[in-house]
Amino acid sequence: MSQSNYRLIKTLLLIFLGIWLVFTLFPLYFMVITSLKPVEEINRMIPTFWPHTLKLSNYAGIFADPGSLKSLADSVIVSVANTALSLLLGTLAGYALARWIRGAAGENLAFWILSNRMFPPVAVIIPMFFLFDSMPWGTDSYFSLIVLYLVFNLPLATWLMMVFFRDAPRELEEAAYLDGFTPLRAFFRVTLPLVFPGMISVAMLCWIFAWNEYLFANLLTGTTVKTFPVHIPTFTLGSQSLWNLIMAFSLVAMLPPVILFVILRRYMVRGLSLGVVKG
Amino acid sequence: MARVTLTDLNKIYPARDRSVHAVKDLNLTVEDGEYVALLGPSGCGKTSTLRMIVGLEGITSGTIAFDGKRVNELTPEQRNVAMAFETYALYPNFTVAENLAFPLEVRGLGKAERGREVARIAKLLRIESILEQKPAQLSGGQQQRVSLGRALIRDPAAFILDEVMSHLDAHLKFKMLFELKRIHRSLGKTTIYVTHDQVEALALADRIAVMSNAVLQQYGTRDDLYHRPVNRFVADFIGEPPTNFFAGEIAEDQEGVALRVDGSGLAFRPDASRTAALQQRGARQVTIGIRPQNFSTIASPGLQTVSARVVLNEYLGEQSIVTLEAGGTTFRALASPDLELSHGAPISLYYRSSDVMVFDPESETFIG
Amino acid sequence: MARLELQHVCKGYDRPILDRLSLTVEEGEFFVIVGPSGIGKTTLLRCIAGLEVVDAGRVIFGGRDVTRVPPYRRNAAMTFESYALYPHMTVFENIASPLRARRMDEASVRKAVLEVARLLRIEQLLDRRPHEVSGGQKQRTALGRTLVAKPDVYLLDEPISHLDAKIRHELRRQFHTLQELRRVATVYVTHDYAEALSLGDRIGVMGDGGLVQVGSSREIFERPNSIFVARHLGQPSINEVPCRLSRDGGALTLRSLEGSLSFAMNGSQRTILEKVRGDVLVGIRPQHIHVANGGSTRQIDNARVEAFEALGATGVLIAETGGVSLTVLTSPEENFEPGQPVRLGFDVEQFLYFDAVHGRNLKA
Repeated sequence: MSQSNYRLIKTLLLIFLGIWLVFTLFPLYFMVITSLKPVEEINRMIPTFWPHTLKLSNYAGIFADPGSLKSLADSVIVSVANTALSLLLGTLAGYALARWIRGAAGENLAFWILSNRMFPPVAVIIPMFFLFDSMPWGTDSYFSLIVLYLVFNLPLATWLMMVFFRDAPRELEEAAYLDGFTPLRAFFRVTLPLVFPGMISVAMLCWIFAWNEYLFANLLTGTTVKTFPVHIPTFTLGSQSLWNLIMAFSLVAMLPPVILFVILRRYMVRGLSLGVVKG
Repeated sequence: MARVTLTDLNKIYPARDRSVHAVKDLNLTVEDGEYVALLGPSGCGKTSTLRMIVGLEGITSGTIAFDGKRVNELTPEQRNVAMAFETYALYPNFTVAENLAFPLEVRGLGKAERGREVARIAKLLRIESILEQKPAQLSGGQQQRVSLGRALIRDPAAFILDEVMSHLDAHLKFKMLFELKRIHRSLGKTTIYVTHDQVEALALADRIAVMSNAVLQQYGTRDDLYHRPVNRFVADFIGEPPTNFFAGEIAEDQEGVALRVDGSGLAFRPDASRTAALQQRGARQVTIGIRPQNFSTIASPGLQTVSARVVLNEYLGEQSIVTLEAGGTTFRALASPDLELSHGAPISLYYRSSDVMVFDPESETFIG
Repeated sequence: MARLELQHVCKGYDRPILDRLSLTVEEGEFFVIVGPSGIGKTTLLRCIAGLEVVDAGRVIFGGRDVTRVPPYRRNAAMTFESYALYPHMTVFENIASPLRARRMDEASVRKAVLEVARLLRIEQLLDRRPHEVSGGQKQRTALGRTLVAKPDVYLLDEPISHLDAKIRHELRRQFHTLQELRRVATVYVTHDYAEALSLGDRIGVMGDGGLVQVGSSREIFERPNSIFVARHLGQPSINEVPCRLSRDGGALTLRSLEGSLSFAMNGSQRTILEKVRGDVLVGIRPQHIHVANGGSTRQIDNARVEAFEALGATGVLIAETGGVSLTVLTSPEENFEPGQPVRLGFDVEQFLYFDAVHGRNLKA
């Protein structure tokens, strides 16, 4: 290929990327400016894309409501507890599936575990409600949400961890046995560090699901426990939605995942490519 | 068929922090019908050179010419070179015959003609019996032959063979060496063979280009590389078991010039024809090199001698490698497997003074 | 310190890999197992290490039956073909691993690791990760990890096969000089016969199902018990000439089935073949044929050069005589052109004779 052709393709590619970037970043931009607009400016027929006045009072406004902080705290409790449980159980189950359950039975078992994630959540919403209602801790509790989210996160965690464990060379574990480590010690000393980047990825995926989940949280909880997605629709004035407050609160709620992702990005990329590049 | 000429060839891979100079000012001519090996350790630039010749890689500067005609701007198809790869790269869903015929089919040859060509190549490579099989049913050696056959079936300007034997086991490799040589003899086509294995290069090639650190070190026949290496790198890289090197200095005694090895009683006598060159040097320090196979345990007239003690005798069937020690310096010699040499036994070794190589210790170039 | 015993060990998946294999490796012995790839050498090592459970038979370390003992309680140290270094640990921690398993105190760990590192000349690498060191250095780290453990049995799986020739020579010498390896029973697996001959106090040649022959390097190279063993050892491979015995009066002659090559049998050769019925496979090592120029060998034949290649320290000549193609080892300095006539001298005393049907050595 000649030099000029190459340059043309490169330029076209850059233009395309620029358009794509504008497309994907616009919603975020609109969120940010809406969160800074005064209430008079938010409900215009033709929205202002370059707001006339910008003020931070919306942020002060949302934290004046004690329910806001409480809902964020609830979300943290539910999502962190659920992630920890998913990761713990998923890692152990994934290891068992990768190393100890061999042959067709293991393959089938692994598939059916993952199939748990395939049905539409709405299909089980009613039975779930009655099921949790009959439990001693009831529906409106931290525990109910933590356990309920396991239904979705545990299969994912198990499946992904199984893949990561399969890719971790078995010989390293065997070398550890020959060094004199019992299987349990070898697991913690050699195998677990090998899949650590994978565990970070799995934790991120589970945590983001639990952090943002609305459907079940809205149905089961709402009084004693109220996660932030359930809290968002409460920013209203009569029949009018206060978009400026909603956007400000949403942006605050977005911060933890973004910060975590920036910090853990290095591990996530390594974890997700663990199966592709070995050694 | 073509004569391949590389003139002032350079390849630089640009990178943000530090660009890599993979091939530096390479000048090389492969005569029409010649079999040339590009030999060097991994990362020496031989693969980049090969990729530039084939046209898979751009040229930073310099020219590549086939029969005097510049081909820098031509695509691989236009250059008309055939290449066989390290990984055989056979089409798994085709039979051997279909694999062989594929390059002809691409060029639009008729069915009858294709059949004739496939039969001719199959006969040459002795793979007539497996023509209807799929690659997966073949052994490694057979797959390698089919891969060669696919390169040979067209009538290209040059053949490029890239590490084609590195996946074969030792016995098979040995057989293939003779096969490749026979095929080259019967076709007489320009062939460039890239390898890191000196045995393959020495056995097959008319001339060998030894590369290291992006630079061509020496280009010559097996004899040149063995007896007249241009520097210590070539002397060290060519030869198995590895060449013995000693740090020493030039001394003179009543018998003439001697090369004394530092810190030991060892002294080697260089060939009379080289003494003048050695004496003219200002510095007395030299690096002495001698190959293990140039030592003999049998005395005969005209041979020089050194004495040492046996440290280790490795019996290898056809031969033994004896590790010796003299005044704290250890070195190796090849010996007959019938010799029973035990640890600590004193031994006299004989060598021809013409086999002693002398290098400059600083620049590592060959002195004489 | 212990000797290693295997008694009637069986192991198989869809076909038997080890079939009633018995073997004793004495304390301090360096035992090398050599065989073609895929024959089950690694499986044997894994059975000794306890990574595979044997189907039948017993594994005994110094009188202690460890057949049902898991690997981490066997006290065997093994190097893997892939080295199996822990990528997330430094070279120091890799070597220290067996000592950490025993919960040894930090000062002793430090001392032991440094001692081994010094011995293997990798002191300067201790802080690096495995991906930051070269192949030869990885190999030494893996070896260090086994040495530091002071085990009852050393198991080494193709430790130097993947390194280039120069480093192989150096590490081979290291295996010779490491006293630690000569203190306990060592089993070393390789597919390279030169490595086996060089290193083994005794060598076991592995074929289908188990060890075909066990003996010293000279025994297995010079007196192979079967054509399988003779074929596997030696580069270039042994010449195989199927022959028929003919007796004319008092004379005993071997004639090749194809072509017209013949050898007159005298003295010791005669006594071996006297009682043999049927065909004989004659094995002639390439170094037992030379290009004759006068010479003192028994028999000389006219031949024609087919091919010649000068390798490193040797030259290989393929020459045809009496319709039989033979490989001959020569000096690399000579030169032969195809078609050129040469005279071949045969060391008839060195010939090997095998049963044409079963491949058994008739001398043994």
